[in-house]
Amino acid sequence: MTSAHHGARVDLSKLTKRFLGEQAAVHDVNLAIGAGCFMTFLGPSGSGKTTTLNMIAGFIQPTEGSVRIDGQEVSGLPPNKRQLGMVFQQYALFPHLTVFENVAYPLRRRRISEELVRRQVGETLKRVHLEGLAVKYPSQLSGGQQQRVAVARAIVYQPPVLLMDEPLGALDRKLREELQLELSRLHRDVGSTFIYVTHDQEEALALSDRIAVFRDGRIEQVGTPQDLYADPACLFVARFLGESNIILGRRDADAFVSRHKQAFAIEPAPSAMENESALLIRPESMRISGDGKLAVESSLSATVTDIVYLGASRKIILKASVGGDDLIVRETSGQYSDIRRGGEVLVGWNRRDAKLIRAT
Amino acid sequence: MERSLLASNYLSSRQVTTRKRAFGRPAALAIPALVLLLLVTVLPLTWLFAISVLDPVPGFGNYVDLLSRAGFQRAFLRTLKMAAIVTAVTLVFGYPYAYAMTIAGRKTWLLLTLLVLLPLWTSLMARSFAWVILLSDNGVINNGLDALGLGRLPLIRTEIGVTIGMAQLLLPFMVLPLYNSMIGVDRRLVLAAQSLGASRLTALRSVYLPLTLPGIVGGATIVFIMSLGFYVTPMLLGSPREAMIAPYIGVQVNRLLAFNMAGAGSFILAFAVGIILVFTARFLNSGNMIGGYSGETGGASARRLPWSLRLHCTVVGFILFLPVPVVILLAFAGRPSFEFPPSEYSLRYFVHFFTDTVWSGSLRNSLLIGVCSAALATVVGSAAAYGLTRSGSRWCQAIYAILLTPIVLPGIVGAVAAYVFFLRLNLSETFVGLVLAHSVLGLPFVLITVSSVLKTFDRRLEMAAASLGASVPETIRTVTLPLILPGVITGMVFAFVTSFDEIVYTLFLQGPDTRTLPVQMYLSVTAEVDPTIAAASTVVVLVTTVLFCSTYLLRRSR
Ligand SMILES: Nc1ncnc2c1ncn2[C@@H]1O[C@H](COP(=O)(O)OP(=O)(O)OP(=O)(O)O)[C@@H](O)[C@H]1O
Ligand SMILES: [Mg+2]
Repeated sequence: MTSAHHGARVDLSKLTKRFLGEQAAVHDVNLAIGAGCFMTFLGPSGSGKTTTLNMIAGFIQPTEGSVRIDGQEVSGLPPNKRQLGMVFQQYALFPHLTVFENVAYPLRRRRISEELVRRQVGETLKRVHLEGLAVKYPSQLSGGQQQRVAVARAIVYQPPVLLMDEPLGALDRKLREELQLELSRLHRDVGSTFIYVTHDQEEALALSDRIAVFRDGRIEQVGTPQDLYADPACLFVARFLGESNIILGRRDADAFVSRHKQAFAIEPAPSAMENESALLIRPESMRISGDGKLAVESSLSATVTDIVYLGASRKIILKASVGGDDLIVRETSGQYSDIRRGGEVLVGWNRRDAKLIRAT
Repeated sequence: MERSLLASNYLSSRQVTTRKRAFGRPAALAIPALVLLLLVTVLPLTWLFAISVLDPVPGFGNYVDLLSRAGFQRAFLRTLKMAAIVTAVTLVFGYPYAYAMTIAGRKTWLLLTLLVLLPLWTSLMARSFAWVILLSDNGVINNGLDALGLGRLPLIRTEIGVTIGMAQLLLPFMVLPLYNSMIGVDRRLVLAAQSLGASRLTALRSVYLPLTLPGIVGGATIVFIMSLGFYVTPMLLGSPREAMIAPYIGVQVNRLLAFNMAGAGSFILAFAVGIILVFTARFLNSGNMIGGYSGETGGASARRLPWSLRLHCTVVGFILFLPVPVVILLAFAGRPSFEFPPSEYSLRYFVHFFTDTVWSGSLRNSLLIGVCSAALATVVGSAAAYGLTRSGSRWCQAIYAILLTPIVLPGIVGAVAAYVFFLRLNLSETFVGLVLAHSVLGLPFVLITVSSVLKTFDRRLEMAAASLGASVPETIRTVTLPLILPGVITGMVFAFVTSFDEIVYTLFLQGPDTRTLPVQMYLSVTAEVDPTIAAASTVVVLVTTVLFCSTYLLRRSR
């Protein structure tokens, strides 16, 4: 098991699912997932992530469209013939089988010799740090250990595609971060294509090669974490990934005019952009000054309403004097030590840090 | 190397491209159960109904004729009266008993539960026989009264005898629904009422009673309906001159061969049951009927019962338990007499039971029919339960309810219909006929127990198995079945005991070569003074007790 093998590519085209008498839960999803890619489905509750995953796995038949794995249409295949691995949200470990037997289960279904089963299971358990627990039953394990068993069971037969539906959803924060690192490492080692569902944006940013943002059964945007963070296509994606300052308004020639009739400079934008739009500035690009002097291209006056200490950084929350919009500034190196709550300040940003985006 | 091994598997599976999903239509798994029900219940009822309206001339002449007969009218009214009395008696005795179960400590709760369930696992015939001994003119009760100088009372062959016999058999069906509704009531409501100035009794009456009404109606309905169809108990403990409706119908079939009249009588009875069910069906659920079997929730509080409740429960428990020591003691009798307690003791009647060809033959028949019908009911019923809980179709609720009808269909109606129909198919008096009939009676128990474990079964385990490469049959074998096995085994034990104890259908369907133990016991009670029946009763009680205890332990160990 030392040599990494290659994952399969997965292509979704025009994938649609309408449950009986309901609106489409998934609508016209097109997505190409490269071999060996760590793809994350990110989106709010009810946005169709699980439904899409289940169509790939074969638990749900699409109403329209197709799923192809390595170019091969799999719509007619039952789940057990698709050669996928799957990790379920509450793990779905078999309670009547030991850890060893759970992990051996997929190998046994493939009629592999007993000796090979023992070796593969042993190696896989070592890989997820569970060597000592082979004879325990799932009910005797902690949440994190159960999660590791679920992963071991899904990777032991080296499926070309591994599906995971919020595998860390039931764990506490510290354990999640620990297991996120392990999953990353596992992905590099195993080489399978990972398709990962979560509604935790930090998890998505930390793990993924690419992220598909779901909204109401459609994919809003696909890209690398950097793409999505730096260049979100719309307000929804911007708000979903990381914190942001949003100023609603409309584009007016080369400037942006807010709802409160303040004008801000913007980079030349494609003229196809609709009039109704928004200006996005990430908190770490915002600058503040307490003495009325700020060397940036756009600024407005505001009152400091709160300062939140976050350990390595501080978050300064402000209310704009005109219109009363909330603004957030992230201080990363103690540069605003003179700012006090209740103080009147000037807050601003450089033109290149302000992104004009779709307001819908 | 492993990679290539897995990959070859992977590739070969890819050649199958367009196949319909293997999950198919799970509801189809209910078809064998429906076929069984069709053969044993639906078609026979249809056939019997056809006879009742077509023979000798089309129309409802038979019904008009029967309803105008004074004998039938008396039997019908007496049956209604007895059913009402039995319902009232079980309610009066059962309500405080069920209440005591809700407030008892763990140990007391277990004892009360075991006692109230006793009639369900100590054979009907054994208990009926014990009551014949207890109530007879020279029986224990009359001897006791006489010794106290109170004189003797006519008990056996009176309505009092029938009432006692039926009430103690039906008590569990009253107590379980009551108990289930009582544990759902928030006891703080009673305290709240008391804090608002009501006395304890007023608080119970004005708050607790209305809240437990669903249990009262549910229990009363079940008991009333079951009372209407009682066949054996009135024949053993009642007076032949005061026939109830079920024995009346039986006579039409057995003695007079008037199938058309028996049909008319059966449907009048079934109609009465149907009317009651229309009004009370919403208070019934399958959990009410046997839910208490698996209930292990009681005994939360550790309070001592008030003395009045303890007295009440002791009396009820004593009456329920009494038949057991009576038959066991009689089984060791040394002389061919039913004197109680016996004046001499020996093992000769056990020896006779196991060596006599008639008795041991009937035991063998009972075991064989029990095992075969339980196996059939378990396979067919588990498949149906699986299909019906797995299918999303709206029809499944209805199919499920239809498969439970053998519970509410009065025994005499189903038995007469099956008898008349099986006669046409040359299935009466046959082994196959009895196995089919018994398996339909066991089917509801399997359905209920298996469905209830399937409902708590995590379906994602099956999805996980499928994603890991298991086909549907493999998933069922390696994941579903091992996990629902306790439910399946419980259902199978119930089905076996149902068959092992069955008497009404069997009396009609058996023949000389297929006589079962309960039938032999019935014939023995009515014909002779032979303590072998006590030995038989003891063996039957032992078999069912061992079966139920091991099922319970099996469930506990999981
Ligand atoms: N079996 C079903 N029948 C009917 N509607 C369904 C079914 N399964 C899902 N839906 C609907 O489809 C939509 C998408 O559900 P889905 O489970 O895919 O959301 P999700 O993105 O996984 O959400 P979550 O983050 O809460 O798990 C929801 O509106 C849901 O109500
Ligand atoms: Mg989901």
